[in-house]
Amino acid sequence: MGAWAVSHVAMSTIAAAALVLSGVHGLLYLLLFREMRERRFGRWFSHLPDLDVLAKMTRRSALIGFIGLTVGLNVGIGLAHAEHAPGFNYHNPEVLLSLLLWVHFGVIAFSEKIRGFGARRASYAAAGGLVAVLLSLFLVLLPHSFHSSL
Amino acid sequence: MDPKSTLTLVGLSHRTAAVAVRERYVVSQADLPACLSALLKIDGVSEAFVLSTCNRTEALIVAPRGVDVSARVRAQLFRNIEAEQAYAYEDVQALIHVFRVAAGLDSVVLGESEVLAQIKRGTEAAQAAQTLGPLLRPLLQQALHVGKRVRAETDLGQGTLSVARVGIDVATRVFGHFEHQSALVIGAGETGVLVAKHLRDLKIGSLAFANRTLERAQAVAGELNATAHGLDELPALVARADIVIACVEGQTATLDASAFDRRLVRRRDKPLLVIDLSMPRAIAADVAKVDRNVLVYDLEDLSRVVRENEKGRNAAVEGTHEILVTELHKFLSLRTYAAFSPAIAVLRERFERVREETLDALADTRSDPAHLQLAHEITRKLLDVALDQMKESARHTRSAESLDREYQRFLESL
Repeated sequence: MGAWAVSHVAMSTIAAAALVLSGVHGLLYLLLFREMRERRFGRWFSHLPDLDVLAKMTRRSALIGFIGLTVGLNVGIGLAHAEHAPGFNYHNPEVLLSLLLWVHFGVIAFSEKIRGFGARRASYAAAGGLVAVLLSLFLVLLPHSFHSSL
Repeated sequence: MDPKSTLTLVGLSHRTAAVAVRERYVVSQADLPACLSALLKIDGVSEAFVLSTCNRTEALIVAPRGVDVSARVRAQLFRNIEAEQAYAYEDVQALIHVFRVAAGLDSVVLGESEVLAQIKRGTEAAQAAQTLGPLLRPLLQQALHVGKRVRAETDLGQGTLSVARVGIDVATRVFGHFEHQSALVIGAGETGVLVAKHLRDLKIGSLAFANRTLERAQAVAGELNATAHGLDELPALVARADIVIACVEGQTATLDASAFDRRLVRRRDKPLLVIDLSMPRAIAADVAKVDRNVLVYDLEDLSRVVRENEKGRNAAVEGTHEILVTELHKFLSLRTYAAFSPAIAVLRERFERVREETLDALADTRSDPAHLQLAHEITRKLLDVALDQMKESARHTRSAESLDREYQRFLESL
């Protein structure tokens, strides 16, 4: 495996971990918010950090994931073109989903600058994105994926 | 306690009644004189004191022994209340309760010191209404002393010590930092100022006061680098706020959903925290339905937060036990000794008469100042011996051990 391939794998792995973290933080934000909204002060209230901290962690993890994915995707696409990878095209679900995740978490990472896209909506988006990240990892690891044919 | 009179306490508190019930029986500072006079008109009542805070409304009454006033006090102060929502204590049990309240042991926030200021204000009101007498005046002084001592000598005075502070702690759980937040404090009374000070200490971005009287709002706003507004500006102020805290006495300001711009709240997608520290409540229930981003809490909710936080404070409470029993013993001994005062006056008069008679019988002693001084000295010393004996017997009328048992019984009954 060449250096570019290693950097593609490394950056994509870091990105996936950061996106999972972002999704988990988003989920925790929603759980704590729901508990506080219902005026219950149970285990989430006692054990989770402040809503503000969770919102920041959601965005920061999304930003790390976004940067990792930017590098990982570009290197990967470049490699695929250079090596004429069999099965690679922009309609491929693995590629398409990765691109969608890149846009999705990019929006979350910069959501503070977007009017009307506050912590709660960002958390919903990150929690939803978590499912997509897991699905993307699943697709990549499938035996018939184009990644496995490389 | 006193052979001729009974001390009765009738009340309700956060332990027995929900906010919705407590707010019906609040006695405002303005209504206190009339309430005290009405209590004094009850047959047999010779002294009265009323403590009304956001956590409790209680009346402390002195009446002749054998006359049961608790039912009449209950009818006067707590009409239509369900039996289990109010409580009544007599004599030593009432005394224990008063000392525990002053120590902050019966407060929502364990050890909070606001209750001392509230007892002081209640005492001043009762003093002005002339409803305090030889039993309640020293009792309330002793209660204030107990409150200060417990906070100074135990760990109960450490940490979060007011409901206002608990409200701010909840706000911290939402916003983390306050540098970029705007707060609106409705009500420029004592609690409002306390809340505003906490927010200022936490470097709140902007702070606004809204009050019924604009002059009062301007006075406190000036001290706290805030803006001052009348209540008519509430909708515009709420639209700019991230945190709204209502600390209103009486029902001078009720904030309902109509004061909120639903579209604006939804569009900005940011938590809007609304905390009601008023009693009766000043924030209408429909505010919580304005949008999912609106978090509304009242005193009841904050008391649940406190209960979660207080699980580790039992050791501090244990430390108060000895102080309370000692102070109870001291107070009861002094009361018993005070009951001897007519006997002491008779004794003093008798001693002096005997001395004068003796001096008269020995004609030449009157001309010698040294003999006169000696006679006075002997009388005084003999009287001191008699008074010391009386004090000692007063101290033994009720042993510290029996009071300790009584205190345990009280705790078990809670």
